[in-house]
Amino acid sequence: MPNIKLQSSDGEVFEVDVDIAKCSVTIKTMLEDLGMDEDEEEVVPLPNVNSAILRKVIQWATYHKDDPPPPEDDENKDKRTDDISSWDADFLKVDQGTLYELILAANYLDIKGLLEVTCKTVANMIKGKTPEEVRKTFNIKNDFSPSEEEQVRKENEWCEEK
Amino acid sequence: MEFFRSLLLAVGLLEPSKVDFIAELPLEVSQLILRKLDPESLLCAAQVSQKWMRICRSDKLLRDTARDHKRNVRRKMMGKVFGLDLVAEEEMEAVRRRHVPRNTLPPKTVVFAKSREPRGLPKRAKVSRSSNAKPVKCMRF
Repeated sequence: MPNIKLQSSDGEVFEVDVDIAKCSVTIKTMLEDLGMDEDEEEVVPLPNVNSAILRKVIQWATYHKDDPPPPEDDENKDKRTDDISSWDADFLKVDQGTLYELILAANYLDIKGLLEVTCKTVANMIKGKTPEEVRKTFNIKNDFSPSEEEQVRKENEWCEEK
Repeated sequence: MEFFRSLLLAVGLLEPSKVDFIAELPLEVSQLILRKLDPESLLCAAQVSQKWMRICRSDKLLRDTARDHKRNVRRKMMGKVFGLDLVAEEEMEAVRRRHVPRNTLPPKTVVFAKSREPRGLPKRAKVSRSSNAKPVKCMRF
């Protein structure tokens, strides 16, 4: 298997199996468009991902390299969030800062499976909580005035058609 | 560095990092997360902060989910009050509109079809109060 080199924002170079790197649509497109796979010495710069996060992303992609491609339905009909595999759940036992950077990296690198499972993890942190519990979970300041809050709680008018 | 961080975390010298994901992530990712919520959690999420509410409002799919849920809850509630099954929203609106002014009218005008007793009104008020207190953790209709 040919390898390619990925360079993180802080300059660390990772040598990765091309097939694993290609689970990132961004890298796949880059290789195809620029014909970079011809040149083994070429290094793909990833200026938006630091080495700690890139290492985790590669770890995830390596474990999931034989997964079938995720189904293409943008409607997101399936709202299940309780179907995270135990390996993924363990992998995502990280602090919120790391989880946040992983989501950004999955989004930038366009890795659908990783984006999906990280978003599910955040959704699970919100599910079933009161607004105050959610604020506490993410350290969010309540910027509604008491009367606004009462109004929002009663009406929830934001969802009514404008 | 990471080891040092975990050490500080372990001995409680460092607060675990907290991130306002929905406010900080790109809009389309925040919407992706919010779309995974069940309707009740979504209605709660919209009450977290102004920004969260704006993000919920910006997505048609989220608005639809929340609105349908609100209607269903309201319909079920009205169904309980009036002993009806699910009825079209417009009919429900009409029924409610007809009933609201009754509070201010003399009881004689609120006689239900078969009986002369104006028992409809107090019964409804009572039921609706108790079902108001129950239904959802953080929203009331």
